[in-house]
Amino acid sequence: MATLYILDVPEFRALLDAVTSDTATTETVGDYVCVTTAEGPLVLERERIGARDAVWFSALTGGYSGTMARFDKSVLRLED
Amino acid sequence: MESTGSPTPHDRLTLRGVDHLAHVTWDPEATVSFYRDALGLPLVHAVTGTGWLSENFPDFVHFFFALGNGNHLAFFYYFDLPQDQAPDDLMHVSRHIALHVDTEEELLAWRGRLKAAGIRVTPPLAHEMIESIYFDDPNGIQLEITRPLREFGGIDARDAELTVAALTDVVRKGDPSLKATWQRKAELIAARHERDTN
Repeated sequence: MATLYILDVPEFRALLDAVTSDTATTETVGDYVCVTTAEGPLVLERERIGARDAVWFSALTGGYSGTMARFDKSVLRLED
Repeated sequence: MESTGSPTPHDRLTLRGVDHLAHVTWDPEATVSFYRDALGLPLVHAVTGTGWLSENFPDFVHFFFALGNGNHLAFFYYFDLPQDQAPDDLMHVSRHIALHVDTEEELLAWRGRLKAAGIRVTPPLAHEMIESIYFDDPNGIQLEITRPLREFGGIDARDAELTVAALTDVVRKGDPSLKATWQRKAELIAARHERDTN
């Protein structure tokens, strides 16, 4: 299971649109939107939102659990 | 913050004091203890990021204390940065002076004035919640003029507390990294939520 917390402020909201994993679910956890996969990786594809550098490279600022398999200019992939 | 009105003429440009002064810390716990706890300055915002400025820019946590009157004192904590081997270019972009304007028109007008004076200045760069232009003074000090894209709110301050708590925990453990900070922060968020809902 991979989990990503996204702070619920305007500049990070677009990150939710970039989640491409079929199994991802979201729920509000305090100030954050918690994105979780029951199984399989949690993937964010930057092309879907065209995020600015400062926002994209701070995408994990809310914290995550799991293993970071990839985080580069185009894809963020968290695995179990 | 939406822009309004007609472009500001160069000869009417003013600044509204300091938006933030930025420095580098190697001891975030002592820094937070001093400014937040001893001096009573609110911790109002924190951003964590990977090295997006350039290939070799280190992972960082950048946190802001409110000085009043819209002014802030900001610190960078860089992961894997030995204190006695600080690279000059990193200190250059870290120890900058950021001046405050209110609108996009003013920001662009300032850029026009600088270019007209023959000063090299960057295009506007939008961060999470501010948009800035950057240039150097004759002494090599980096200057920034910035406008807010939105105001800080309570959510930013609560998030900043969790970020610096996570950073403090991983620095205490002796092998700090941004990955460990993010993972610790997720634990703190989950624990706080558990506490608040029970």
